[in-house]
Amino acid sequence: MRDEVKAEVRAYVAEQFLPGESPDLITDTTLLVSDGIIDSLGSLRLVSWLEERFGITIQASEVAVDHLDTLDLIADLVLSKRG
Amino acid sequence: MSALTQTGSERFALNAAAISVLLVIAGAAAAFVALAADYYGVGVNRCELGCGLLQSFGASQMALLALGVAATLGGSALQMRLGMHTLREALGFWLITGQVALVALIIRLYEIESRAFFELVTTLILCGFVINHHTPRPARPKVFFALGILTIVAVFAAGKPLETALLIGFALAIFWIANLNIAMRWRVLILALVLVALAAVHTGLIETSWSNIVVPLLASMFIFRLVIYLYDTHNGHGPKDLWTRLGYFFLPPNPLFPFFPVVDFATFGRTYYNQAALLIYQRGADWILRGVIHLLLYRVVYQFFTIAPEQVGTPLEFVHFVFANFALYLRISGLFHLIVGVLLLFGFNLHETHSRFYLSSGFIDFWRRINVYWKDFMQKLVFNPAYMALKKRGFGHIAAVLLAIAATFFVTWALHAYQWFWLRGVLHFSLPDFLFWALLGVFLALQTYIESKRPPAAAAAQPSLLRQGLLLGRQLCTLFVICLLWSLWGSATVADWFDLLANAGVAPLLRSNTPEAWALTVVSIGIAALALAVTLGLVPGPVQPARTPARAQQPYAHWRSAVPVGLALLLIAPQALKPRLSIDQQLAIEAVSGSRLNAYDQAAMTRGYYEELTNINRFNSPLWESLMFRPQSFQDMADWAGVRRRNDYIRYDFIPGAEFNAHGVTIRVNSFGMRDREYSLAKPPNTTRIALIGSSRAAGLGVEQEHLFETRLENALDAQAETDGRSVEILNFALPGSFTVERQLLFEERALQFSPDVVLYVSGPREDASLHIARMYRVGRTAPYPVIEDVIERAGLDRSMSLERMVALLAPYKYEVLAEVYRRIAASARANGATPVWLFLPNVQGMAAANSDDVEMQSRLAGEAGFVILNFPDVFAEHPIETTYVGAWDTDHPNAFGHSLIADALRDRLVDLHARGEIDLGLAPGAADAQR
Repeated sequence: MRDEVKAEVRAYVAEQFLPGESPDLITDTTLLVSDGIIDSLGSLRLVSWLEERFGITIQASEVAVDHLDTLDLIADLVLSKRG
Repeated sequence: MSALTQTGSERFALNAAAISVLLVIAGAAAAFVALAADYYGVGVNRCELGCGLLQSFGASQMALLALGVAATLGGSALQMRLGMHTLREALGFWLITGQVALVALIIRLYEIESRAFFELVTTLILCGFVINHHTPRPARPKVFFALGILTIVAVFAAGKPLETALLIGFALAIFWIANLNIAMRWRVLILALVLVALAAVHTGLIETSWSNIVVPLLASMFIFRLVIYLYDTHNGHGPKDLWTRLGYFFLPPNPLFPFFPVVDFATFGRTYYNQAALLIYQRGADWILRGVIHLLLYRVVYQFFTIAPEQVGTPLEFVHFVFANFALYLRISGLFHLIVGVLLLFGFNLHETHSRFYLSSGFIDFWRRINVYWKDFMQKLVFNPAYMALKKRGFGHIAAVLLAIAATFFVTWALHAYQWFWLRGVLHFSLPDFLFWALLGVFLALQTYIESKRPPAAAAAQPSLLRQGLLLGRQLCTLFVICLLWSLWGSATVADWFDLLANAGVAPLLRSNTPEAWALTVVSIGIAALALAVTLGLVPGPVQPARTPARAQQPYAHWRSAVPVGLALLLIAPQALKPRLSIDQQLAIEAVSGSRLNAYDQAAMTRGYYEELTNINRFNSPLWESLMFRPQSFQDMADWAGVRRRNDYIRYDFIPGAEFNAHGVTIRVNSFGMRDREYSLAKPPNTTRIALIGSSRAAGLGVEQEHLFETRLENALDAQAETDGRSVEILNFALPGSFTVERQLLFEERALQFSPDVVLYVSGPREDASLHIARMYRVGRTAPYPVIEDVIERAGLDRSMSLERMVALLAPYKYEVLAEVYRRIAASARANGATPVWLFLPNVQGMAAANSDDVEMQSRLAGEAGFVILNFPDVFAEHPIETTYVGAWDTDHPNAFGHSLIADALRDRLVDLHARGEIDLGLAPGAADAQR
C-alpha cells in the first residue's frame, strides 16, 4: 500500500512539477519542498490532489514541510489519515 | 581487570574531552576579552577610522589574544587526537573560521552598523562559533542560548543595567507563560494581557524610564516569533528541547537588529545540523560576506546616488530616483543575509533570504525571493488556513488561491503597521502603504491566475541567446515596475507621489491640461503598462525553469573558501592602502566607512528635532534607526508647554517666565523670553554684554541650563573680568528650530534694546531659509524684506506646489537671502555700537566634505557683511562622537561635555580677539596673556 501511494505521488509530482523529467529522478528522500521543486502554490495543489485521490482530509497545519517534503513523509501522512 | 582498564581509559577519554572543551572555551574567552577591550575603554585606546585595526592594540592585549588562540588551537588539536574530529574536518573548520574572521575584520574596518556590532558582537559571534563547534552536539543548544544572553549583556549591561535585567527577565517570563501547562486559549489570553500592559508602557500611558529600549527589543524578539511558536508547538511541530526553544527567542544578533527576519520555529528545529556541519558553516560564512557586500553597496548608493524627491525635475532624474530608492533595500537584504549567515554558523541550516531579488521575473518570483521568511510566515498563518477554509466551503482551487492572496496581503499591510507600532510607539497607517500592498497583492493574484491557465513550464531547456535576452527583458520590466511601486510606498502621501510624477515631467497632465501634457502622460502610462504586462506574463516569453533534484546537491570542499577569501581580501585592500591613496580616494573610502547620514537625511533629522517626520522610508532608513530610540518624552516643538505660536514671520517663540520639560531637560525662560537667567533691561555699569543669536545648539537642546556653553562661558569671562571690578553678561537669545530670517527679526525685536557690546551669531544647519520662506509664502505671510519677495517671484513659486518642490525651486537663491540676513544683522549691530562676530559651530559628527563648500560660502558672506569671523571646525574632533552627542536619536546636538568643549574653545578665541583689539570684552590689557 505504502509503495503504491509513493508511486502515484511520484508520477503526479513528475507530471505537474517536473514536466519532461523522468519520475525516477525523484527518490523516496528527494526534498521536494526544501529544494524548491514544489512551491507554496504547488503544495496546495498537491494537497488538493491527495485529498481527492485518496479520499482524506488534510488540516491547514499539515500543509507543511514536515509532512510534504519527501515521498516518504507524504506516504506517512496519507496512510495515517486512512487509518 | 580488563573491565576496570576499559573503564579507566573511558574515563580518561571523557576527562580529556572535557579538558579540550574547556581549553577551547578559555581560549576563545581570552581572545574575546583581548579583542573587545577597546570597546569598554571608550576614548582610551580606541582605534579611530583609518588608523589600522592593530595600532590601538596594546602589548597585553596582543599577548592575551595569542594565548587565547593558542589555547583554542590546543583544544581543537586534542579533540582531533581523541577522534572527535578528523583532520579534514578540523582543516575545513579552521579555513571557514579564517574566512569569518576576515569578514569580521571588514566589518570592523568599514564600521558596519553600530559600534557595538563591529567592535563587540562580531567578535562574540566568532568566539561563540569556535566554542559551539568544539562542544559535544547535545550541549550546543545551551551554548547558543548562552550566547544569546551574553549578546544582550555585552551590549547593554555596562550602560543600561536596569534595562538589561528587565529585558532578560521579561523575555524569560513571556517564554514561561508560553509554555505553561494550561489550555492554549488561557496561555493566549495571559499573553494578550501582557501585550496590552507593554503597549500601555510603550505609548507612555504608564510612564517608565526603560520603555524606549526594552519594549522595542522585546517586541522584536516576540511579536511574530511567539505567534509561530504557539502555532507550531500546538500542532506538534518544532524542536522539543528546552534550550533550543529558548535559543529561538534569544537569537544572538537580535539585540542590535530590531528589524529581524521572522525565523520559522519548525524550520529552526528541523534544519538544525540537517547536513554536514562544514557545509552549513561554509554557506553561513558565504552569506555573511554577501551581506557585508550588500551593506557596502548600500552605502555607496546612499551616499553617492540617492536624490531627494524634490530634486527630481526630468524623466531621467525620475528613473534615477526610483532605481536608487529601491537600491536602498540592499540594506535590508544585507542585514538579513548577515543575520541568517550567523544562525547558520551555529548549525541552523535556514533557507537563503533575498536570493537575487533584483533579478526577479514577475511578481510571484519577486515574492518568493525577497523576504522569504515573511512569505513563509504569512503562508503558514494566513495563506494556507485561508485557502483550506475556502476549499472546504466549496471554492475552487483558483478562487481559493486568489482570495487567500488577498487575505495575505491585507494582513501583511496590517502587520507592518503593527510592527511599526512596537518599534516606534505609534501606529503608522498611510494610504501609500495600503496602496503598495494592495497593488502588489492584486498583481500577484493576477499573475497567479494567468499562470494557472498555462501548462506547466518545461524544465532544463537549453539556454539560448534569444531566450536569455527575453528573460533579461522580463527581469528589467519587473525591476522597473517594482521600483515604481517602491517610490509610491516611500512617499509620505499619494499627493506627494503625484507631485513627483508631475515634477519629473512623466505625468504633466497632473499640472496642465494641454495637448503636449496629454501626449507625454499617455506615453508614460503606455511604457508603465507595457512593463506591467511583461511582468505579469501577458506578453509571451520565457519563465524560470523548474528546479530539478540534481541542482540541489552541492558537497563541501576546502577550495570553496578560496573565492570568498579572495573577495574579502579585495575589500580589505582599500582600507589597508588608504594612507597611500589620494585625498579624493581617501574621502570616498571614508564616505562608505561608518554609518553616516547623507546630506538629505541629515537635513531631515535636523528638521525632526522640532517637528514630527512623516516621510521616513519605513524600516529601511538610517534616519529611522536614529529616531527609534528617541526618548518617550520627545515632543514636537509646537507642543512644548513653554512655546507660543506667532502670526508674523517668526513662527513661534518662548513664553516669558515659562518653565517646562523638553527633550528630557528643564527649560527655564526669563521674563524677556530668553532661555537664560534674569537680566536688567538697562546695562549695569562696568559691564560688557554679549548677545548670543542662534538656534538649538546655542539654546542648548537636550542639555540642562547650567551646562550650556553660554552659561559656562559667561561664568569664565565674568570671573576673569571680576578681578578688574568689571563683569561680563551673555544674554542668550537663541531659539531652537529658528531659521536665519527669524533670528535676524528676533535680534532686531529683542537683543538691541539690551545694548550689547558684542553680537555673537552662531551659524548652524539652518542657514538655508528656503523651507521657512516656502512655509510663510504658503500661508500668505508678508515677506519682511524686498529680497525675499523678489526671490519668491524669480523662483516661480505657486501656492499649490508641495513644500518640497518650493524648497527645490528656492535652492538657487539661498545665498542671496543669507547675504541679506547677515548684512542686516551686522549693520544693525554696528549702528548700535556692537561688534558682530560670526561663529561656525560644526556638527558633533564633524563636517562632511559636501558641507565644506557651503560653510566656506557662509563664512565669506558673513565676512563681506562686516562680521568678525570665528571658526573652529575641530572642536569635537579629538573625542569619540558618542561622548559628545545628546543621544543616538540626536547625533547633531552636543551634550554637556560637548558644551564644555565649546565653552573652553570659545573663551580662548574671544580673549584672543579682545587682545588683538577686534572686539572689546572690557577685560584688562594683558588678559589674554594671563589666561594663557
